[in-house]
Amino acid sequence: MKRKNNWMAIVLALVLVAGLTVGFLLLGQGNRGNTAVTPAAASAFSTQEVTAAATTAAQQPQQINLATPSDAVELADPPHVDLSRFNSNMAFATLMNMAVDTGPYIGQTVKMRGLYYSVTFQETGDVMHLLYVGDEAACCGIGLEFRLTGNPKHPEDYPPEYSIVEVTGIFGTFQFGDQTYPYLTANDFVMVEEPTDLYQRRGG
Amino acid sequence: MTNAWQTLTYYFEFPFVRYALVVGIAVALCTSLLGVVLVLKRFSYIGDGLSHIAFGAIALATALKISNNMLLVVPITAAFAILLLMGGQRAQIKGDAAIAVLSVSSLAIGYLLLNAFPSSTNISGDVCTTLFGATSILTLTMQEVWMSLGLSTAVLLIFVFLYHRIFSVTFDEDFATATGTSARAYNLLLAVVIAVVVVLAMNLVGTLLITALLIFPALSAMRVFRSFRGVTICAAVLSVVCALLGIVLSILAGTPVGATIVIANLACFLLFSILGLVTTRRFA
Repeated sequence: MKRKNNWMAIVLALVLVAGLTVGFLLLGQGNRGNTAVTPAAASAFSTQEVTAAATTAAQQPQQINLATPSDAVELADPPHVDLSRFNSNMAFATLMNMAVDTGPYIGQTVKMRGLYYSVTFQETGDVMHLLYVGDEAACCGIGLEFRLTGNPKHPEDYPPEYSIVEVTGIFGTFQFGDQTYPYLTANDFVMVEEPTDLYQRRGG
Repeated sequence: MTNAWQTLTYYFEFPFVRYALVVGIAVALCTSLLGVVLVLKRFSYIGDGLSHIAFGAIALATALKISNNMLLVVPITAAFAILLLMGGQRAQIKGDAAIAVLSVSSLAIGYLLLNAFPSSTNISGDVCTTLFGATSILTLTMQEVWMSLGLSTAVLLIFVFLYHRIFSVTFDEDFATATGTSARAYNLLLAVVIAVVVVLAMNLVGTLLITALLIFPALSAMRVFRSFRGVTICAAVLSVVCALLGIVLSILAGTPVGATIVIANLACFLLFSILGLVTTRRFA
């Protein structure tokens, strides 16, 4: 009986390792994005990858359609997802999840606050507008594109570069290559007062 | 207080927050059970060593562009766990020295590989997140949740069904062998289970803080309880409570999840140490 229990222990150990290996194979553990290291780096929409995507797109100017509707979009009040209430860690984590799993959020009204910056496609002159959200330690960040309705002109109708801005828009996605990228369709933006302390914590 | 409660209930509407809580509790339960065994066998620092080895394995998988890195990480971690725990008296480098050699070597090799073969432009962020687990637990997919729950259940079942064997091997291997229990077999099983739990726990608290999840609940329980069963049950309860508290506090206050959980465990350890002193003096 005791010898049987000993063999059971060995078999259990082997089954655990084998099951783990097969399980991870089937479920694709860690197979998210371009890196196997962290979810932050695996984001399909990190700022660096947006810039890289924009650079790639500049070589194929017809691939990304940055057009927005001229009519204003109807936004829900209160928004379905209000990231402006979140602290940096939660805002970053929520955006990460939204970028990786876009399905549940498509068509929802999302309000977010971030650092505005733009990326210009050198071949066509088209401009992509993004809001950057970093975690509390500022070691990881993610950017989300937003598009304004009403045919605005850049840079007159957009915020100053690297200013803190709040945008409320409808969450949608577009395909570029084999990647799906999210973006917001918004009617307007709101300037947020710059904190006196650059490292001031925000959110509640 | 009302505002914090409203914020918390709003956060709970997001599935990834619920996933984080569920996986955090499951992983904390597994680590606490194994931690009791490791502390009693004087292998408290093996979690740290194995997590560093896992970090090195992750870096190797990244350098080799293996999309599913767990195929490499778990077997490598398990192999080194077996090497460390089953080296026995014949090993030339034993115990803490062996852990130290493997731990720092893996960390250095891993960081070198990530720099030499970067897979993203934010290496510092990748390394920081892997080492400290700032928001990893908040970015789990459904598949990862199911995998974590499945493995945690397996570890729990192993501990429950083989409790007496694990107990005898932990306290007296020679006696266990003399009574017909193969200590080598159960040490092999424990090594594999530890490796699995360490890899799971990396998502919760990061590489550098795993040791806290393993040892703090056991040490806290040992301040008050004297029996193996009492220590095990108390450690499990403490670990789950501290993980829950740590995750909730971190998402409310915007602090790193791993560090907050460890500080909750530390506070618990201090509290139980005082409780143990008071109890000892009363009954001395």
